[in-house]
Amino acid sequence: MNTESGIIFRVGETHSFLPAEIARQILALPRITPIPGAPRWCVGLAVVHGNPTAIVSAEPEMPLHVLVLSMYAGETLGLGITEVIAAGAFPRDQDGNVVGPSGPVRDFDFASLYARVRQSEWRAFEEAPSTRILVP
Amino acid sequence: MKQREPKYTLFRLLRRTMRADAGPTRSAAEEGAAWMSHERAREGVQATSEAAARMASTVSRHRAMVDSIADRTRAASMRAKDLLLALGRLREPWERLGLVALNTSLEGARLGETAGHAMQLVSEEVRAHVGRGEEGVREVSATASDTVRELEQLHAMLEQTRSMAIDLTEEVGQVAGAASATEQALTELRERLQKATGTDPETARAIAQATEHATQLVSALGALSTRVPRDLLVQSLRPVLEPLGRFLGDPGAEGESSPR
Repeated sequence: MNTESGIIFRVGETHSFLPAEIARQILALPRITPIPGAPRWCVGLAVVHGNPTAIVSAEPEMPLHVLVLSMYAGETLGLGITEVIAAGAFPRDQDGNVVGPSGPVRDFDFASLYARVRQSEWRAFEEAPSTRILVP
Repeated sequence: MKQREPKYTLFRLLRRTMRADAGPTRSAAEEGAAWMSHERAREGVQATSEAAARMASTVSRHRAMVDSIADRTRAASMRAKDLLLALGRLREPWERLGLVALNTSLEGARLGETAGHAMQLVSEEVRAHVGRGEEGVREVSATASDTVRELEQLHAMLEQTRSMAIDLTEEVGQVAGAASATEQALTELRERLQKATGTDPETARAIAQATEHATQLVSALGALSTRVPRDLLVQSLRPVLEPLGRFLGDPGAEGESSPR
């Protein structure tokens, strides 16, 4: 049977599959520093293995406890999730869904999340108070 | 001058006593009753005062015990909270170990079915143990939380008991104060009664008893005199009654020379 390596995880009540090519490592969620004006999918910045890493999430309003250190398009990103359900090699059914311990699971659309983060407007300076230099 | 006959003098005296003493006898009886009421009141107040002192002592011991239990409950609550913190610290290593097992499983899957099979097996075994460990920590934490909550409730109840004991102490103090004031009032009453009647409880009691005996004696003599001839009665009772006659005197004997 054809299997695929990766992790099955959930964010809130939504279960998804992330292939091992993207999911590099599973870590406890580190302390995250929010970025003012950042798109809502960009939760903030955290230091992971000594490197500042952007933490993203498809559903940032949900409780996030675990970080999946991911590699996508040559960039390292941290994906904030609620819980990892399983890790390993999983078969796919005829619909193309990965079959996990609790049934078929859709692939996580990392590309879409990456695009949303990249293409969204950053409003870091929009709400900042205007500054005026007073020259005597 | 005709000599007075002692046998009739005695009866005259007794009859007069019966007639004339109705007022004074009642007065002596009332004085005796007043003194007896005073005595009962004094004994009652003394018993109340002693009971209040015992109650104050008991309440004081009770308060000390409640304080001690409250201190121990507080200490037990603190220890239970420490236990909760320790269990919280224990939860983290289990979670980290679970993540290690997940990473091992991911790496094993990446290596392929043949090369990574052993890693997968180890990962599954470790995850099973982690699951049991986390479940155990959760159960102990829930029990410790319940214990903390119950100890806090117990502490609140003990605080209420302590507050009630304080109220009770104040009330017992008021009872003791009232008993003391009543005792003082009774002492004043005793002094005033002594001044007013010229007697004291012991004398009044003795007078009341003597009055009662004398009344009974006069009644008995009256009853006897209807059945026994008077001369015979006087003759047989004279040795006993003459000292009584002498003791009482015969202020109304002058001018009377014959029995009625």
